Amino acid sequence: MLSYLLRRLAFMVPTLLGITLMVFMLLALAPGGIGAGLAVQGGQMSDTSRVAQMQAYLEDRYGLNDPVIVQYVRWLGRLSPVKFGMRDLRDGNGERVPAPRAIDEPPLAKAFPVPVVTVPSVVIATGEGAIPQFKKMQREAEGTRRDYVGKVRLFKDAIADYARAAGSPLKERLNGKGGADPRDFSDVAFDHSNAAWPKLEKAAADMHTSHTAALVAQTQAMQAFRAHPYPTSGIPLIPDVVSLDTPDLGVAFSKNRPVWDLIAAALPVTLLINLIAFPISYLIAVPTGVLASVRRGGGFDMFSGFLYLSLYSIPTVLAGVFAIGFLANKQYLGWFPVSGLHASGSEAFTFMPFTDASGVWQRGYLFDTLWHVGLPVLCLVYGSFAVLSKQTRASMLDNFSADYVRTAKAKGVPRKDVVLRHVFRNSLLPLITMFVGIFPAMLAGSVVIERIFSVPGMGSLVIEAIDLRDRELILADTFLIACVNMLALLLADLLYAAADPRVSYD
Amino acid sequence: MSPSAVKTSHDQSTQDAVRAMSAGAGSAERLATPVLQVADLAVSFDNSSGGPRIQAVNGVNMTLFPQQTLAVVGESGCGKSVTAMSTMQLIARPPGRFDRGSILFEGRDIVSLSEEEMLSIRGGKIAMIFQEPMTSLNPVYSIGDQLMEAIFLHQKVGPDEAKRIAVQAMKDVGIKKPEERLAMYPHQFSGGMRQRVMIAMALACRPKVLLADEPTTALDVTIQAQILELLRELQRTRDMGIMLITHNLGVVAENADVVCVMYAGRVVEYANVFELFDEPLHPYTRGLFRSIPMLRDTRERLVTIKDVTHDPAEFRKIPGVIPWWPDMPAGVRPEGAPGRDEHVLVEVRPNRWVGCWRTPELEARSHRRPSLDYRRGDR
Amino acid sequence: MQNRFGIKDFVFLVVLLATLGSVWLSMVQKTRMELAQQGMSAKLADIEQQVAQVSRKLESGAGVVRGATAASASTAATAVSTDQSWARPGVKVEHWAAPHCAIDPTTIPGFGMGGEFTELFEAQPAKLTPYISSDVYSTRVLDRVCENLSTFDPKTLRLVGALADGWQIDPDGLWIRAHINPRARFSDGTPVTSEDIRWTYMDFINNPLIEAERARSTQDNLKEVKVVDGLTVDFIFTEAFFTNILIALGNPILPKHYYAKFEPSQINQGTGITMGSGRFRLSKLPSGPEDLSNQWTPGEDVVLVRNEQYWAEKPALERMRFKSIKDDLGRLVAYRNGEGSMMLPTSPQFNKVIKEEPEFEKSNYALKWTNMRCGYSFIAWQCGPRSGKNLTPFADKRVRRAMTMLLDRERMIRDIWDGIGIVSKGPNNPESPASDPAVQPLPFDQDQAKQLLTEAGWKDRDGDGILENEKGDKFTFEYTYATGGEISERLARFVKDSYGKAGIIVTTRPVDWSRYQELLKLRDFDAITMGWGNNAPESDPRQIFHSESIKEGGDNFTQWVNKDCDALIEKGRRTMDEATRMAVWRQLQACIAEDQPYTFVRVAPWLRFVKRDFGNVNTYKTGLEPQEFFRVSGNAQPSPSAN
Repeated sequence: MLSYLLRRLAFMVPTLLGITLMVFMLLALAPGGIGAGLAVQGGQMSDTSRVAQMQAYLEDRYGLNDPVIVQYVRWLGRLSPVKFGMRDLRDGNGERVPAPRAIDEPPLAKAFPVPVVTVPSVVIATGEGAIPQFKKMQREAEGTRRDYVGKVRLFKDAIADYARAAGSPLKERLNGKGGADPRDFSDVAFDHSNAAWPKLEKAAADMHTSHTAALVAQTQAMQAFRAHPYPTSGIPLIPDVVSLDTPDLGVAFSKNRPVWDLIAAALPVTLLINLIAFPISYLIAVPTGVLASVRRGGGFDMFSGFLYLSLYSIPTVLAGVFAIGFLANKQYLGWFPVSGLHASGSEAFTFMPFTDASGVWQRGYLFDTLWHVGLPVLCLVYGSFAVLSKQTRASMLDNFSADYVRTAKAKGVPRKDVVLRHVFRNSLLPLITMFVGIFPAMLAGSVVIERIFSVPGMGSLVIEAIDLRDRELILADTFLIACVNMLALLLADLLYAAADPRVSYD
Repeated sequence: MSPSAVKTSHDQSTQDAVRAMSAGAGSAERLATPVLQVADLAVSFDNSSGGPRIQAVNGVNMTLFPQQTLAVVGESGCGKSVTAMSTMQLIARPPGRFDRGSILFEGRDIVSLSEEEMLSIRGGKIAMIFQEPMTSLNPVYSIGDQLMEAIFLHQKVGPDEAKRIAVQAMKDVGIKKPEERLAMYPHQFSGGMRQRVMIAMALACRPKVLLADEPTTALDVTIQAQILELLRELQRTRDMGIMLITHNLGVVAENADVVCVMYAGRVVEYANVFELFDEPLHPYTRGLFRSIPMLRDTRERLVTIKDVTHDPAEFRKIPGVIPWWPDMPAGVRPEGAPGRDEHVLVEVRPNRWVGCWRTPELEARSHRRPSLDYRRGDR
Repeated sequence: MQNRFGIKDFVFLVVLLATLGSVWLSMVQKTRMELAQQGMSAKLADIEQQVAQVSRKLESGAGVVRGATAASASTAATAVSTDQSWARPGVKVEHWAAPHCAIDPTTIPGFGMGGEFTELFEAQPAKLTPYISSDVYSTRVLDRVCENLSTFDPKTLRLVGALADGWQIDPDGLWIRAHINPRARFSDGTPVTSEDIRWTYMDFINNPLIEAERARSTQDNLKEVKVVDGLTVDFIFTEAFFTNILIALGNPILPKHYYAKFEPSQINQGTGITMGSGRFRLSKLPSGPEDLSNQWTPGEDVVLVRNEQYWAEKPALERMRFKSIKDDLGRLVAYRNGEGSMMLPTSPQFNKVIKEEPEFEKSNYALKWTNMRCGYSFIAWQCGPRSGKNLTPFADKRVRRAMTMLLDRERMIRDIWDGIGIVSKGPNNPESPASDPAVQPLPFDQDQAKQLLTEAGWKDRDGDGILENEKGDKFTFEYTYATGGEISERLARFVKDSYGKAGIIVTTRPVDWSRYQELLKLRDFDAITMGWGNNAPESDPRQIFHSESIKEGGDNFTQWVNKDCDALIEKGRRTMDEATRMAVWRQLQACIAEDQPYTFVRVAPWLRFVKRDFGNVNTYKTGLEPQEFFRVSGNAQPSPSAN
């Protein structure tokens, strides 16, 4: 059994890799590409070149310039608990501090030779002064890097202008967006008489200047980093090569917050609703199915089948509208609140209800939450009865004609026990299979319901992420869903083994 | 001791017959009270395709005495299982329906009992074992659970006592290491062992009647022999009657005391086993025997039952009666008594009954119901 | 296997889980209550401190006058200092009073202090931290909590002082000097100094580690912010543009002593680290890095409480709450249930309620008006080569004018927007002084349009009802729009029908939002619908209309080139004097109207429902000013709105 478990867990890893790779590639191929949500609105900027620089800076910060496969490997590296390379530090607040990133060589180094950079030596402070010095260097490195990236972008734009001024054949080397990829121009001998040449020359000079500054700042910051102003993070396995550290899900660029924070806020909400909804749906559907199968063709069977199928046919949006329009509207019934999960000021509630000094019954936090959760749960649950009860009914009917039922009857087992202990127990197996199909549904959340009732759960999080092509959030969510899916399948197999003694894994 | 042939009217109550018999016999060697009596039982089923009802059992009579093995023989579809299941009211109604007749268990009519009353009889007084041991046990419960379920239903004992009884029951059927086996599941047993478990389950509450519906058909020959021997052994020690339903004549020859041959829902012959095998009277029975291939047979073509039943001469072998057969050859079928069932079970010789056509002459006579208090050891 | 999983076990498991769940929930609640308690004890400490300060002041003899009587309040509010000791010689100084209500609520019957005002948003703001948050909802919250050096006068739209009680603007546009009102205080009582201003610009916005990209990029023209003395600050610019004024005077000022406590990463990741000198403050505010969990996070309502230490006229409302309800119907129901005091109805909701429920306006204000924040929607015509390759029919200005004249915009507003809105005639907001009220939008005139098209070479040559040019190409174009709602669909259909009648074949191309943005960037469209929003009475047209902005990165998606307009834009940008500048913008408007690179469609007015439980609800040119509202007390009649 243990070896089986381990084998299953081990098989999860390649599956997860495959899933994330596929999603990553799909995102990269999608129109709009990764990070379309980063598109900068010009608005009040004084200069288009400023916009271009900002765009370049954002792309650099999120690593969107690199080829897709490199981005994927980097994402994997951040996610996996086994880390390669230099270890991050952790500052006093527990935030991860990565090493300052390396500066790329300026493009077209042949046509525009890069001046030699001498990095002035700097004394790395220790003790009290280490952290302030590091912070200062970090800020300097970040600023100069930003500047350099912007200048590289301007240089590329200048090449594009040059190409346009030169006409064909150079003009053909521009890419679809009218921009220039320096690698396409590496063999060009630049013509100084070209109208756009002075600008290009100046752009190259600017680029080299900022490159020097950036390289100096980065080198110094790296020296300070190596002196470990903060303690290192994680557990080293092979020092400086392999280490163990907590997985890092990244920062969602549409919301500018760490993905983990977003998921940690949304997941409990979704879980709350689903963990209440799913037992309710089972507790109503399964007994109905059993009863319907016992009195097959009878009034209850027909009525419940009709009722559940009608409920199943009502689209969720319509149900939500009805729920809000009638059940939550004080002009009609007004039994439930309209939206959200807590009443205003619920932080001040006590947990359990009580009657206060003036004799008024106070709801208390527990009941307030349950009251708010009522309508979303109702909308989540009403359509699920049909499938579950039909499945139970069918499974029960199958088992009614089994031989051991005949034996049980012959033993003198009363009818009720025959149905509940013998037939039902054997009919559970398909239900267990269905039971674990619900786990992925839980994580995905019910998007429509969360939108209708303004519940800040996983569903709305993912839909926003997809809309804005927020790569980190989508990937993290896909990864989580895939993980839980596979764990749920594993759970299903284990439950099966528990429920059916004929099944064993050795 | 051969029971005297007492002619009683067919609508006289069996109690009278029994009293008459014991008064006439005068011997107290054996308890002559039949433990199970099926009298003129008719069961029909709804015809799902819209036609007339299907008559599965049409006026069947048989009697089972304590410590007797009554073999009910016939081909598939002749109604033998339905008869047995009707005994315990295991037929689903609808689509089934008791048309007429009675089943008396220890003198009490059990056809008309309510479900609640039947619960104590099923498993407790009358037990049944079935043909497919592979599927007749619930796969998700351990056999200990299933055994004890049977015990708890009929005996007011605590869990420890029940366990003890279960272990004993397993020992009785020859299962080794029963304490360990209690926690095991049916799929961990072989076919023969499962049938033993079924038997143990059936006998745990010491029923008076065991209905065995083809208990060994699904097992191989050596196991078959073991099971049947076990049944004989248990019958002896527990004073139990066994109704053995089978289509295997070899099993009948080895194990039965009294044989009841059925066809198309009716009894065609009823006799003790030796007399039946020595001299079968009904053409169908003869056909059955003749169609068994013999070792020293040099014929090229086997005899079929049809060969026998299509031969008019076969139907004239018994004086005064024409054996009943639904598919009579031309010219042999007699006039029936109008308004009455065409079949009647006639005691053509002492303690030998044959199913015959109800001619007006036969209608005029009264017929004793088949009742043979005979065991093989009596020979 | 030995274990059996029966129904009893299942029920037991469920009960166990439910118990665990309840226990966990109760622990969460306990923690929240503890935090609330902590907040309260912090507040108590605050109050103690205030009392101490007040008693110190009393001892030192200073008079403490806070809006108690109407008379003293108004004098205190409108008092204008005439001190010029801080100013540079030779340049005019403008003096301003402290922030006050445009209409004094204390004179309105039913006035009382206190009450809670709940605004219903359509979506959650992602963050509230100033300069880091980017959505419109957080702006509404920030406007209450933080203050700028200046603000727009709600009635006149002129720039008036807020934190600043005086400033000087260099006529050459290269520097601006501002003087902070000496009474100005942050919400914890610390005075606002010029060091705070310098720090906000130089060490917050321009700190590369803090993710304030947008703000940083708009300020590249700002060379330096210098502290002149404790209350005076100089903004030095490299070039003279009119936008310098708003860069200097129109940004929230942050307290250095508070924000410097946090690391840049904490500020970046924080969701509610918002402190300022405004009339309200966040009820949940971390006091320092160790208190970061005491922050507002998305998912909760945003709760603002009155800043008791406010240095000018305190607002009447005690509390403001912002709740987000995504679903339109849910929002309306919540509003009517009393869970909200103000909401934004959709146009159909607005009309329906007004028409079908005459009782509604007895207890609610149903407001509809145009203000400086109203945006405009338009159809952009591709004037240049599409994706750098082929020219569209719209390269010809006559065709573009014809396209505008073929569209019955009045009817569009009636049919598609239920009559709500006015026809837009240019990029400037009709309330803004930059918009020429004398200019009329192009009329709906199919004959004149046809004539223009014929002049441009498009007429029906073969009698099939469709226009062709000399080469025989049919006049057909692709109309691109972003999916998301019935309005865009209806618009597309209307456009298709209108042009179809004139013999132009329109193929519609709906795309999703990300793709839409990409197409804009690539200039890959024939015609596309868009809308721009507004935040101020005027905006820099360079980014949208100048030919320099055709390059990637600029917002001149239509690739429209007009040298005259370029010149006007350059001139206007560099004109510091407002009156002169407005005249230039009007000329620009005429120039754009002549060329029609856009067909301006509609200016969307603001729609609001506000409960009449609140008074002093006025519709201004700046929108609504909720800090002026008060809760009508007891028996007083709810006051009518002053439109």
